[in-house]
Amino acid sequence: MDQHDAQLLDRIMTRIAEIRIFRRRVRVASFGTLGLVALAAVVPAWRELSEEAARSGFWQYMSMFIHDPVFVASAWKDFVVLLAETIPAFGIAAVAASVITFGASVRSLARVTT
Amino acid sequence: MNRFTEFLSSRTAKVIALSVAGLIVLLLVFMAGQFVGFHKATYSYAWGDRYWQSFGGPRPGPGTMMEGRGFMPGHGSFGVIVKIASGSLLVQDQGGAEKEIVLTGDTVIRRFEQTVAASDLRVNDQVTVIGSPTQSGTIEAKLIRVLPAPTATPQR
Repeated sequence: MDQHDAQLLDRIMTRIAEIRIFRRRVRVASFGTLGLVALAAVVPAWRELSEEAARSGFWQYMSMFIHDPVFVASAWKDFVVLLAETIPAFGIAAVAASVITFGASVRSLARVTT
Repeated sequence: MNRFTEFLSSRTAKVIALSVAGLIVLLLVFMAGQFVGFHKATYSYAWGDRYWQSFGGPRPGPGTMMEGRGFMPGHGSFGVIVKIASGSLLVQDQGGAEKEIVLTGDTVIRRFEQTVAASDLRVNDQVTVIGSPTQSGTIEAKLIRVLPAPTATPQR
């Protein structure tokens, strides 16, 4: 290998390293931003979950089970359907989506940086 | 046989098994949603029909029932008693909808740790009800819990 080839190889390797560093920075920025957005979304999602549960009466019905488990058990079919009817599905989905997105972005971030 | 065992322990087989399990879970959730939606829609329609017969106004339909409120649960209610009649109560929920709660001989009414009679219920009592929806848009109560009156929060 003459000197010209060695220089060319050196430049190619340097360029590859630069591209790798650039891609890593882009990934860190992307996953970091996504993680922060997901973390910030947890609070309004949780608030929505609480409000939806309060509006639908889900907590009231759950508290009935705590206070009168024997009587609730005697009407368990109606109670189960009632819980299914009032479950705050949108709030649960929003909280789950934001928590899962945050976890996935942290995991990806850890993988990129190590 | 050996190749089949190899396939079962492969990554592809795991992906296929997980996908099938995921699809089954999704299908079950969809079916549960359909079941619940059907029950809520059936009750809401009966409730709307009853409301229209009592108060008149526009005939309820799928469009009018969804206005601002969505379909209502038919297996219970919580809110304030606004009217007490012989064998029934009118409970107004937080959204303002008034549901007629029918009392039967099997209805259990609980206040704190005691079982009380229907005659102990008062207008403005806060109640939570579990029961079965009827075709006439009422709820046949099985359990009614009288809640303590909400305490006023001090203003700063």
